[in-house]
Amino acid sequence: MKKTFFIFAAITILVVALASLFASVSPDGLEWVAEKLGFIGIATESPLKAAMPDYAVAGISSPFWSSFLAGISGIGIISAVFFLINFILKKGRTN
Amino acid sequence: MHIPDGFLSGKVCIATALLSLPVIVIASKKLSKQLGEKLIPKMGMLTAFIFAAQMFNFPVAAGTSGHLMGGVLAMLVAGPAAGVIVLFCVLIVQCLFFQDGGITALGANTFNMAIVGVLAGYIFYSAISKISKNKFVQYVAVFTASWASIVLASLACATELSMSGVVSFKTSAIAMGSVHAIIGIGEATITLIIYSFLKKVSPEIFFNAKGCCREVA
Repeated sequence: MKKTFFIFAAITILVVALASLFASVSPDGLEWVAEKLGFIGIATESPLKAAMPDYAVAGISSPFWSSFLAGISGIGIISAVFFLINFILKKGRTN
Repeated sequence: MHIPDGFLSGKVCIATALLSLPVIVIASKKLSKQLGEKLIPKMGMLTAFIFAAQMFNFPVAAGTSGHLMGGVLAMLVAGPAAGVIVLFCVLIVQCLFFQDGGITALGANTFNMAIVGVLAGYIFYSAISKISKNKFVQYVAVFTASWASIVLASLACATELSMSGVVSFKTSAIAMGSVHAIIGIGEATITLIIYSFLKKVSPEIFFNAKGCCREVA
């Protein structure tokens, strides 16, 4: 399991790096349909201020590093949450 | 196909949230019955990987792009209940930190991608994969389920758009369905590659594989 975990972690980070280098900036399926059918304009500003909108870290001019750091932060947040859940459940089981 | 804020009417936002909530609760309850020691780390890995994969938009014909949704992948590795929760976690992180998918549309996005995406994939996969243990049949099951998961999720999205009065159902269903029928081929190809890779290097990782995901309750 430990080995699988490290391989998975490495692959995940690699995917973020590749995405930061090569991801297509064309609109996705829904955006494309919204443009074509003329309702893209009804999208509103989010009532919520996200920390890294559009997978970019503010203040970093290199598009690669901006996207890479945003991706790694996302993975960090996910890992932290799951570590915490695992820790709490494990504790619950041994008590 | 992450729906941003503003696309859906308030009623549709509330209705989809009310529809998604009980499914998330049932899936979580189901999970607590199958929590082997390894399930949570596995779900964490899947969530992180699918989050990363969803950043990687690949070009699709006619100036569009698509990315892996990962519903069938999550379902194959962790089972349908865990798959729903994994996709839901990805959507929450994307919406809260990256403004990918509106907060008001979280219920709809959850319904389309986490619920329809994963469970439709599961239905197609189970129906086809039980025909035979033959490797080719298994591949067909994975491919078809992945493709169907994208197309059906896009049709759910089209339904919400038309119910919000944005466009007629026919128009949005044809437009969303046809674009996602192409994006779905990308989804199916990527899922199949990852599936066959995992089957080779780590067959014990799959849901219901021997020694995996035993029921503890």
